[in-house]
Amino acid sequence: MKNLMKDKNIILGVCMAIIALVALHQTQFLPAATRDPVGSAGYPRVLSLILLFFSVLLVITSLIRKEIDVADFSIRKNSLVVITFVSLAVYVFLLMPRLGFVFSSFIFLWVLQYILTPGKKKYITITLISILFPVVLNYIFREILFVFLPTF
Amino acid sequence: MEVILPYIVQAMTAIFSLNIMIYMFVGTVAGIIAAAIPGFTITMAVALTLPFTFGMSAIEGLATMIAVYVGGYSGGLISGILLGIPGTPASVPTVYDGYPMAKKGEPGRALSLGVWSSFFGGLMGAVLCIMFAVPLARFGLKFGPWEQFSLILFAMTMMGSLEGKSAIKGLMGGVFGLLLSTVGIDQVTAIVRFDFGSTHLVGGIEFLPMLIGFFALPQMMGGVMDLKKEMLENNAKEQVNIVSLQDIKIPWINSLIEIKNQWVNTLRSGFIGSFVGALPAAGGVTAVFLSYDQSKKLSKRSKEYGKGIPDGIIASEAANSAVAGGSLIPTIGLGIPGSAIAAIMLGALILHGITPGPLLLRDRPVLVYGVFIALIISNFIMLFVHRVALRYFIKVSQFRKEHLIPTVLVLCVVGTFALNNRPFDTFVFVVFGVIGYLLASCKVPLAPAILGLILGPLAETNLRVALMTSRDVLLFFTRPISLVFIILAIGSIVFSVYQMRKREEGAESSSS
Repeated sequence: MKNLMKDKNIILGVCMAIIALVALHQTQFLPAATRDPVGSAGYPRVLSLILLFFSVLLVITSLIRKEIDVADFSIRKNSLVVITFVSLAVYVFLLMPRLGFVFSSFIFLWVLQYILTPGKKKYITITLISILFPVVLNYIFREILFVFLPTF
Repeated sequence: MEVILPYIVQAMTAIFSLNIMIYMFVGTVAGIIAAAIPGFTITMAVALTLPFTFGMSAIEGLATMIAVYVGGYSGGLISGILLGIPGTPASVPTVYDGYPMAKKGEPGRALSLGVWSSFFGGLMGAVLCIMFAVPLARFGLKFGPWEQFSLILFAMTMMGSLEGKSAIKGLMGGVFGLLLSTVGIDQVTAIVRFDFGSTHLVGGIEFLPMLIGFFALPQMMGGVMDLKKEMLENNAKEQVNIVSLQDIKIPWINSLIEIKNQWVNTLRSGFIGSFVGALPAAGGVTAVFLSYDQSKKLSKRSKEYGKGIPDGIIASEAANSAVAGGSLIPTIGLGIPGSAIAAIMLGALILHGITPGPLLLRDRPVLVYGVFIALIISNFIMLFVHRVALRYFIKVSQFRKEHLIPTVLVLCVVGTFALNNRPFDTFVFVVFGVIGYLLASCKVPLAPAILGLILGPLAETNLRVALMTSRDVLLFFTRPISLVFIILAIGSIVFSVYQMRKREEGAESSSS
């Protein structure tokens, strides 16, 4: 039973079922149809029910199947993925609004390249990429495409 | 002919302008480089091109994206032939014969055969697109809202049930995308749905941040896991060079003669690539494996396949390049994308305020003919670029992941920010990147969700217009074209269940 709860398909089915139920609940607050037979609530309601159906079907077929696809959420195994996502979040939500695109990208690129490089670190390559890439990109977007990225 | 000639002339004038030719040249180079780097897919390259097209006109933007698309399908052969690592999934069969040929001391021959095959396959795809997209669009003009809704239903079920190994997960992903498309203002009544009190969600979820998050982040995290393995093994993988750049002799003329002698193989592979590419969800990978398989079965040298013969390279590369044109047939003709990349182009049209569908040919003929011309010209640019700079792309294929992943992530952030110049879109990108990674690790195909987000509003509008016109639901089944699409939709689900059962039976019998 403990292993079943770790089955990826069951977790997926349960999560999707929750999303479907939340959406279904929210459609109750939408006004009833006046102009057309479906109304604002009809289409999302039907989609939520179909999503719920597929979620339940997925859970049932997973329970019937003999093999379990165990989800491994251990931080240790996924440490580098977690670090990459956290770095990305820090870069986007904390650094860029405060430091602007060029400086925050330099920090993000340098740190993440350093973390991801296995074995001997190539400091010159890491630093060159961290400086040149955001500067060139900023130039292209500002001067050629007229898109202004956040500044310091 | 007299009616369309002015449009063709206008389209040619537009495409052959200096700025579009520069964009297409740069786009082709970018596509080749992106595909040459293992771990960077053509879909990501086209998705990341989209933000660069915001400041361009629709025709400029589409021409650039087509150039990236065409360049990308030819770039995957470089690392495949020289390193035995396919640059893109659609280049996998090229490795079967390309890499052994390179190991035998003929890397230049393998590369030139691949490039010429890509060129001819791409041209065939372009010609078939022109031949079939226009009549398909004219046929599509007969569609009412019932047929439009049923067609989208068919496209969604086809994409959901055939993409990936589990039809349930694919269809679930498609419905999830359709549900996400309902967030924001209802197009019929202007009532706001599922905003959860946030003003940011009133306009709905932009598909581009979700698309980039879904396609780029799981791919990048896969690369991160590879780097983790290298760290645990305590060494960085040395790039294995089988030849140095200076030693590669590329026999362009001899390879062209070999292609000429294998014209049946080339033609057949091009046709397979185009027609399979036109089917929603089938895509480049299916087309390429089917083409390779057919070429092997029909060849007198079938036992030599996989040992470094030109036939395998030709079959693979001609097919995968023909997919580009093939996938645009339903995209241009009916507004239904034939692949994830075509879905991105559809999104580009929507971003430029153009409604895709059968009316596109009637309302924007210069744009449509411009796309056809761009498709043809891109193949010539691709051939020229390879002829001139193939040796330098070889170096690019060795770009290390620890540098690639952070730079691509920065490009993704810039791309999503540039859409509306608002940080909320980058938030959406990160959130959907996490969701996409979790879904991908549960083996849920992501393309159906993207398709659902793009086609959802169209599906809902057509359904409601149909029911407002007549409350008779049976019209969906009594109108012949709509009935055919519904039957095909049910058929695709039944077929995928049958395939799944067959796979499970095969797995059970091999384990017993």
